[in-house]
Amino acid sequence: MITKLTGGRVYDPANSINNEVKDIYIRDGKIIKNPDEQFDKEIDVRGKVVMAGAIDMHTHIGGGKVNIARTMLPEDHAADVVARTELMRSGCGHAAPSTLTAGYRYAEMGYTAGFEPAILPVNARQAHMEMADTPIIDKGGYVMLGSDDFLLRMMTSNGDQEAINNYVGWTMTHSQAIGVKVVNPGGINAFKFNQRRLDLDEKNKFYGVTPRDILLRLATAVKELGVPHPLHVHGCNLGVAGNLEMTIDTMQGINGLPMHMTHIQFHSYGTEGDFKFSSGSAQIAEAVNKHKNITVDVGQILFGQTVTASGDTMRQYDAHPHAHPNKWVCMDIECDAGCGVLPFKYKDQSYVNALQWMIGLETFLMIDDPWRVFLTTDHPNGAPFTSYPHLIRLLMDKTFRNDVLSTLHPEAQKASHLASLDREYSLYEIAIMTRAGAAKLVGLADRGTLSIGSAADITVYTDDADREKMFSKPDYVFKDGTMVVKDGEIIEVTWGTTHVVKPEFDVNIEKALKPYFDRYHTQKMGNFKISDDEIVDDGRGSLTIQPLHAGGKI
Amino acid sequence: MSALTFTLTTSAKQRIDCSPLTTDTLTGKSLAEIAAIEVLVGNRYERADSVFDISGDDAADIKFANSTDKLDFVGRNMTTGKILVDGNVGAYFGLFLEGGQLEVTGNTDVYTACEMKSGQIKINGNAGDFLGGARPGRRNGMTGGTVIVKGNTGDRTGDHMRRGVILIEGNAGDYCAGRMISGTIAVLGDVGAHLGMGMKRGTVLLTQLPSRGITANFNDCGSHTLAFLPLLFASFKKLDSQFASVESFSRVQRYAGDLAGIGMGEILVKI
Repeated sequence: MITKLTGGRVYDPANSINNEVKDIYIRDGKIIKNPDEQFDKEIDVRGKVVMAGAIDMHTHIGGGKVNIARTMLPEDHAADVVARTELMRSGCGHAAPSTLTAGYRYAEMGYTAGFEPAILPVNARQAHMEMADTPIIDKGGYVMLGSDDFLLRMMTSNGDQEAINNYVGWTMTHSQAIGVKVVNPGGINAFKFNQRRLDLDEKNKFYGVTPRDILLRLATAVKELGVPHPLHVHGCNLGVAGNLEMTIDTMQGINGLPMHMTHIQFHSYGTEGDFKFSSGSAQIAEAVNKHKNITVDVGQILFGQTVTASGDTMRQYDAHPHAHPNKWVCMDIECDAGCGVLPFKYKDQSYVNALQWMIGLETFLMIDDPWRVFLTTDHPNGAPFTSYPHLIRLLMDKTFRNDVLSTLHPEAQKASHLASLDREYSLYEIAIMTRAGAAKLVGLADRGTLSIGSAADITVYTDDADREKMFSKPDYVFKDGTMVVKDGEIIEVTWGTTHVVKPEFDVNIEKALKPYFDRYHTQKMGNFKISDDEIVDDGRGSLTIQPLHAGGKI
Repeated sequence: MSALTFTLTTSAKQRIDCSPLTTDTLTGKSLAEIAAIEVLVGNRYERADSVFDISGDDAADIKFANSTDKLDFVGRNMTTGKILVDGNVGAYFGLFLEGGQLEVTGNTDVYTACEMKSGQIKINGNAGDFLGGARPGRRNGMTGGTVIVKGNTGDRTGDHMRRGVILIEGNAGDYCAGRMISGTIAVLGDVGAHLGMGMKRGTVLLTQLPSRGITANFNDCGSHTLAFLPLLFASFKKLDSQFASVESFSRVQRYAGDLAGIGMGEILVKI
């Protein structure tokens, strides 16, 4: 069956199409070229805004820590209960929604893919099972390395880069990942040796390696394996006033290797002013503008109750006195890393929170290239993903932004020059940030674009000056050619695919890994490996293997 | 005016959520309107008159007759009026109660007086576990009001309790006053194991040393004459409870704990 979307205003930055009236044809879940007016169904989208489905490249929707957050926050669930319908299953949760509800809500906002950024190898099966229960959207994950004892041992014993590449490739393949993330490089491990802070050039007490070494080794591995998604870095000293310099040092120190720095807002703090807490967004934006190998996502905070869930045990432990409501969990997760979960309420009358809000927006507005900055709230750490339409309005509407700004903590307003920033994002730039750029960054060859042959993930909006209204309720959302949302409501529930990459590596790495698993892990190496069948066999999930970049040494 | 009476007509195989049937929600409604109110029975909503025979007209004086332990959430969020339950009642009896009076002739199930704010609850039978506690995962239990229990209470009485008074004429179960933040629990009978475990502040008043003793994480602070006790007993005089006739005393042995925490709670035992 061929469906025609007639006369929409198309924004497709992957093909440099900016607000051009075009028809789109869909057949068998793909976008096809004009079949000479031979179509079965026509949908009139004249005057409406047509974009590819949005992609959230950093959202915590699966894995151990999200489940801890769910378990720890019954009040989050009791306050937001979604009843079952004929079509959809019941669910609950505002900050940490259940898997099903997360999928429905993403689709209702026009999102068709979300990527879990912190899959611990040993928890990968759990994370994939949760994502397998997240309907409609595509998913995938970045596997977390950098604080695992195996890598640190290799580095201590001066293992060559090729062995590290093999280990990274092996871990990515067997945990079904599409990228590699490093969280507080080596810091989570150092926490286990009673270090409570770890700077970029500070040695892990036991292994003697520094975060800088770890980043270089992993970024090189990712590059040489040909993995399209650059090393995904949650840097040192998250949330510490004065971490700005270290963040810039991290960017410079990577020696031009591709690197994605995530939730950069939390890493852009200076120590000026009476409160010893100031915005470093200008310096960060300048550094990002200068280093073309660096991409960032913002991790914008928005006010209200949420929960922070992170693998960064060290920083979460440090933040625990701020938990609201007062309860928190930090835990060690085998030899891989750890995690910390603490509920948090961002308050607009708090100097620090208000300034965090401003720093995030300043970062968005001062980084020139929308292909290298991505729209995230680090769901749920800065705010739940359901606040994206609000965030888009803040970016696209200067008056609205300044109206909100004027209600915030007065000292924070004085400490920020956000009010003087005139930039307003255009629809084309939003389409870059949330579609084309995100697909390119994650390494999705067939998504985030409306090119002929790509998957028919399409969102259609009614243009509205109130961008929040526009982006929270799309007219139509197509997922792989199926209309799943009409007028902002789910009309059909489909199941997305899991995007992975399969880098090449030498299986001889298992000779070293097997005894390591036997001695230190709770599961045998054979059980650790997630086979393709585990994701595909239920008949609902599927795997999409994305192409590698032209490889490096291997 | 006669009491507005809900007589359970079914054998109630499923649990029935009675939270829409309080003085606050029923005042000013006709019998026909009340009959049409939808109550959650198991997993579906049904009209109130399909499970209850409804008679009477005074919404400030509600009565549940022929009640069973399947009736949950009776008196939820009520701010004024009176509910009398004839028989046993289910879980969450008096959840979020803000005022008025609840009374049950039989026993209650778990989470009685959960996060109650004010008002009075009287239980003529036994109370279930977590009397005066917080909902699972919450940090603040009962924050005010008075609960009188003629019989015994289950385990974890006063879990996370913050303010208010629980008066138990029978025995209290295990972990009584566990994780208690503040408030008063008085017991005329015995108490179970782990009394006051994790207790932060607050008072447990006993007329006899518990048969299982005081745990090691409470410090014996010696005997004291506490002038507030006669005042406390005087305040019980107006209550319809055995506590109204307890002979006032002020000499007590004082134990402070839980020393594993901040240790500002006290167990007072009559000497």
